[in-house]
Amino acid sequence: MAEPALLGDLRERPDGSFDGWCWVPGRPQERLIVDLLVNDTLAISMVAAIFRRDLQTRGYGDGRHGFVLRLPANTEGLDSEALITARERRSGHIFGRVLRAAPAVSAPGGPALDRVERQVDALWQDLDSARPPPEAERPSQRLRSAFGTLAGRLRAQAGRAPWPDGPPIVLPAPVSPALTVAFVARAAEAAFARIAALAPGLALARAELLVIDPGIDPEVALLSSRVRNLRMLRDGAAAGVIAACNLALAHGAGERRLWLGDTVATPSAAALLALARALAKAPPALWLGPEAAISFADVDAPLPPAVSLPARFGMALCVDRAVFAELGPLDPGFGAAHGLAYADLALRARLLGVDLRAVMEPEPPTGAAVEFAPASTAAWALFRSRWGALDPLIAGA
Amino acid sequence: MTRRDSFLECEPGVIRLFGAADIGTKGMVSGWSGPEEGHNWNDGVEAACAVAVKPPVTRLMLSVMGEPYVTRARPAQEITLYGNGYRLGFWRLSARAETALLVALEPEWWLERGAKAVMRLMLHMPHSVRPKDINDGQDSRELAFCYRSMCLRPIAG
Repeated sequence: MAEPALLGDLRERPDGSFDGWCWVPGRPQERLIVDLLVNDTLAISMVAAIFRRDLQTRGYGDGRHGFVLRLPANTEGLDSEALITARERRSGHIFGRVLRAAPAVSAPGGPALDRVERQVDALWQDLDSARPPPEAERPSQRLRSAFGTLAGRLRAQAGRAPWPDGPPIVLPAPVSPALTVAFVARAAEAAFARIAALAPGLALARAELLVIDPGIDPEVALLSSRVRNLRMLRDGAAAGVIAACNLALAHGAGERRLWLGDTVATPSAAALLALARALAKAPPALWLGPEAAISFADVDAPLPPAVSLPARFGMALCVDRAVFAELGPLDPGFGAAHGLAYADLALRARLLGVDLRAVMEPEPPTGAAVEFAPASTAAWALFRSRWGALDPLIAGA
Repeated sequence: MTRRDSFLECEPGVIRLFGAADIGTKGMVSGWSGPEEGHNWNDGVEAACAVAVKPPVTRLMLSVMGEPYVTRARPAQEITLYGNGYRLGFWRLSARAETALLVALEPEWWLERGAKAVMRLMLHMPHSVRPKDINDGQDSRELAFCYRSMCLRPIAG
């Protein structure tokens, strides 16, 4: 595989400044100019020439390729959520993006809002006990969900998070993470719980976390108020799992990118560490987990013992940085049928001769060439037209 | 003797770092100690550096970041900055803290030399002192200000 043209990284520090580095392997002593853009507008530039021992240790030139930048206070766009981009000036190569959360505002009405919410909660409980309705038809559930959404919007507007106060969760910010773990944050509270569960494992596994905000729940933007070093990307168009997955795969810095689907279990610290160790020994590959709902006859061969562990904890997709760069993104043409998009990626990998493993849970199904989640007719037609000639089972499905 | 480049070529808006990694000896005409990691001290009461930008030159804001050498025995440092003979600014610094020296540079103060507009910056620091002379270590350089970074930023309008 060709040597990468430029390596670099960008991180937001807890004090609001940014640090990072960039380096060209082919020109190891060259000092590069880094532009920092706020929402695609140039805000500040610097020669990346600060010495960093970690870069020197990794053999990146003489280690003098770091930078630290603080955006000027009058930078346009900083009063709301902003996408910060790091770009090498001469080549225009973008090597880092950080979503900076909007500054929180004070919430004088917050406690009162909480009190009203508790009172209304009690009211709904009374209503349910007085007239037990059928589970699915429970009107209080509908009202509660409507009120919950309203409260969420008010809280988000006031800069208040839906989770209780407490010490911040500090995520690791490894300079060259072994793993990028990513998922979509549809609801703030669930996302917060998932981050809290993942955090210990991330530190152990030298992994970074990337959270995709599809813009469904306004309170998701408040995650960074409680989670330090959180990298969050906004899927502005709310284009679904495939687009979110592509975002995470493209922006992760880890050697391997691990996509957690909505329905897979959050791996414990031990499982994440074991997975990272297993993957470190495995050859570059594309892995498909249970959410992909796909298997191929030619990958039913037993996996080597060192890499059998992922089958027990669940994941949607795990792909090497280099493999993803070679294969390109998931095809958004499959719409909501992301199982078919994963299958399409896997078949492209097979055509390119990339080592492929499909890991299923609990037992890899055998016998069928392709299994898939329910998909729309249009997505199926696209899949058949592309791959039907490859396998009669696909053509006839 | 180390060869010193005639000018420090600057791109407006780009922060340059004093010290071995970036500026090094480029444009450091006289009155400087050797470049160190991430900073460069003056050595003597006058330090000169020559900067160059590509014409046409617009109004630029020169910002120099660094830290004055201030101790109980030398409670303040003074810096007067001249550019091509024009007196640009004066600062009296009494806090040993990260400090920004800011001054606006008018286009007519630059000298055009072919494809370059150049300015010789002269920093006059009359209270430079040898730390060893005031019982503050063994350093025998004449110090006033630890220079860390500089930038020429275009001024809007």
